[in-house]
Amino acid sequence: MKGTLWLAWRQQRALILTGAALLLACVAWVAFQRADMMSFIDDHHFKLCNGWDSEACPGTDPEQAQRLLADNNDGILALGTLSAALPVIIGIFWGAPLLGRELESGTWKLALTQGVGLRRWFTARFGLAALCSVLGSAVLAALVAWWWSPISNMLDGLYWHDGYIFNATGPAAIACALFGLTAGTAAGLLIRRTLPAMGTVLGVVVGLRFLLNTFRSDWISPTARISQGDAPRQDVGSAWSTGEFGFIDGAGRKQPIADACPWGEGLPDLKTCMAQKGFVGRYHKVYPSSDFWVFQWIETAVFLGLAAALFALICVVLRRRAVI
Amino acid sequence: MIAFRIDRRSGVATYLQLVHQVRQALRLGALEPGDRLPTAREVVAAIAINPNTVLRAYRELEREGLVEPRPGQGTFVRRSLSRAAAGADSPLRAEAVAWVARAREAGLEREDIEALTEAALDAEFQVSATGRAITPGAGRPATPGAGPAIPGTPATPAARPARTGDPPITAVHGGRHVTDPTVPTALRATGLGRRFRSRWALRDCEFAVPAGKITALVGPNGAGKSTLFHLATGLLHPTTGELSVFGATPGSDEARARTAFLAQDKPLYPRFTVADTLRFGRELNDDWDQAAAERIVRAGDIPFDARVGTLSQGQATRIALAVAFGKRPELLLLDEPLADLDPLVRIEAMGLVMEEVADRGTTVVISSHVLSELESVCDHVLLLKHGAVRLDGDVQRLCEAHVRFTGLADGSTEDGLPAGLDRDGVVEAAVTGRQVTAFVRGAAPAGDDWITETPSLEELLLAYLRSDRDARPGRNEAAA
Repeated sequence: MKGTLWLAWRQQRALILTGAALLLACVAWVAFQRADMMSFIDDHHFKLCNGWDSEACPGTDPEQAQRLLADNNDGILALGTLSAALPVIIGIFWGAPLLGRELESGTWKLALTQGVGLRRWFTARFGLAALCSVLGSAVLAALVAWWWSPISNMLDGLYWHDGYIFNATGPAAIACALFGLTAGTAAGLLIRRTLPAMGTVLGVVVGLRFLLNTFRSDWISPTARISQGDAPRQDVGSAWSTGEFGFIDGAGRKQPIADACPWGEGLPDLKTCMAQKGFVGRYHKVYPSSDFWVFQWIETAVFLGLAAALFALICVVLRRRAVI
Repeated sequence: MIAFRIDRRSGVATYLQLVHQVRQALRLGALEPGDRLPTAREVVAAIAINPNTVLRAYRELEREGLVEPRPGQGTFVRRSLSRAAAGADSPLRAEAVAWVARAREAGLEREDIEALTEAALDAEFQVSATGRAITPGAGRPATPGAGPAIPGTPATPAARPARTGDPPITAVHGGRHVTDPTVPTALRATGLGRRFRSRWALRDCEFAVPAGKITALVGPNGAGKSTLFHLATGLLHPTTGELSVFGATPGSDEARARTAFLAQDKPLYPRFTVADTLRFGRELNDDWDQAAAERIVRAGDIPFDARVGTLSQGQATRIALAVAFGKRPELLLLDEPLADLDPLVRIEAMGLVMEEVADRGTTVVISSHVLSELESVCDHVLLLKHGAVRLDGDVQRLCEAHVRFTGLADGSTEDGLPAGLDRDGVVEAAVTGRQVTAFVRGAAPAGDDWITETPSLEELLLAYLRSDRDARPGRNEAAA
């Protein structure tokens, strides 16, 4: 390796090698666990199907299915937690010291008075960190998806909209890692001290994740599943229920009154009640599992946009060198 | 061969100390005709002084006919100094003893007799004031108030003919800062200013640092020295005006390639090994002298596989200097390089810098609070105070352009100074009882009633550091 790339490698090799070793351990562990899981599925001739209702899966022994989930949920949960926490870890241990430690220890004065310029110095170091962050988070996200997908959205297992899965897989997880790195770098540059920068990036990434989790369903409107007359509702299946149930009146308007026709002794049955009140059908609003990708791309765009804005800020501050 | 030593607190010009030591060795027979004198590089590595000082001492000895340079070989002793006429049994000595006895009978005290002999010696040898100070037996001029004013005190420094052979670099003339356009400039500031929020760290600075010289950057804490270094390396941008490094903008590719900077905290990567640190220099600089850098490390007996964080401060300074010198800089900026170092390491580190100067003629700007250490090292001085340039010029010329004098206070004036004295030139003055002491730029007052003295660099700097007067009154008034 030559020039600034050598410097970047020399400064980050401890992180890169440690990260690679941990990642390899994860791969080995997941490969072993997943092989176990697949042989269990084969041995019991599971007919895997989605949703809460085991009756929808004839031929599957509910007890064995529960065992399958119990055996694997904890592992997937742990891996998902690691993958979801990776952006924070990258921000704290890779982003914050990237410039923060240089400013704190004064080594930026050594580095920036050599033959190479500020741009090459920063590009090589940030570039290597960004590449490693993307690779690392992509591998982890892929591991989570690989292990989870055979038993995804099943019974009381893990669903696509669970934080452990949604935040740990897909392009948003990778974009979030990039965001964590950039936020850490910016915090180090602006605060000029490693430890406070670490604290800041922890707060920022966790806070943003919390906000996105809270408002995730607000980005797009849910799909209304309509059942005509008193026909039974469609099973929730792998969809993410909004909890909004209601009736459709003769004019086709949706009435979000879940208990307009309560069921009980002495009360008219559903059909009669609906007829009395002029309802012609029922509906249930859900996000179908295909919305996973819509949510993923929205959050990917949010993370990448913020990362780009922070990167631009870093460039402006570095260029002005308001760093003493 | 002769081993030199330097007394940094003696107040005697360093080159004269060297000259004197050679003369002594010649008298003792420790040096004989045909012996080689150490090269400037050997001397500066051992005692950490400016190589130009060594060359100047050798020129002086050559002028006296004691030594001769042989091209490509070095400087060799030409003749020894006979001691026959100065021996204890020489008739001249008896004559001198008899003369001193007569002077005693005439009622003269020791100081008076010394002054008489000094005057006679000066008249005979036409030597400089600083030369007088090392004449055996003469010592420093009498302390103020120790005796009556001595008739026949040697001429004031200003009256002495200017020394030839050293072209003027920069000088303070009539309060104006003049730069000789024929001498190349390493650093030039025009209207330079830098503000941090509402505080100006540097303001309206105009100066030129001559190339190939060692410039001392002096000033109290917070005077703007570090800011100036950061501006010169491009780590900071000026708020007003500009600074150029060999004509280029600081921080540009060209300026960076020609400049090396050792920051005050001597930053290094603590987890790098020594070898890694040198490789850092090699990878980040196109023109890198690995052999030179390794030589400096080896000379300090530092293992290449040691982690920098485990080294002592002295060793870390050596590594930092190795990185700086491996760059082959034309301009070396050293921000308080000696702070936090023990006395032995200080000399060792300074010796390294001086060796580099001797080898490559590097321009050096060095800041330090230890004024006595600068005296034997620098050619040029730049004094900053409250973010402004207060003194800028060639050390020798500045010292000779100033005079300290002591005498009886003049009762007719308010400040006790003689009426005819140009008050603009007074840097510092104090009346104690009947005695007045003053430090002035320009000539001492006329007349024989004053004990005058050319200040050492340390005295000069201290006087300006204490005083609020500007070396350039014109600028002072403009700022007020």
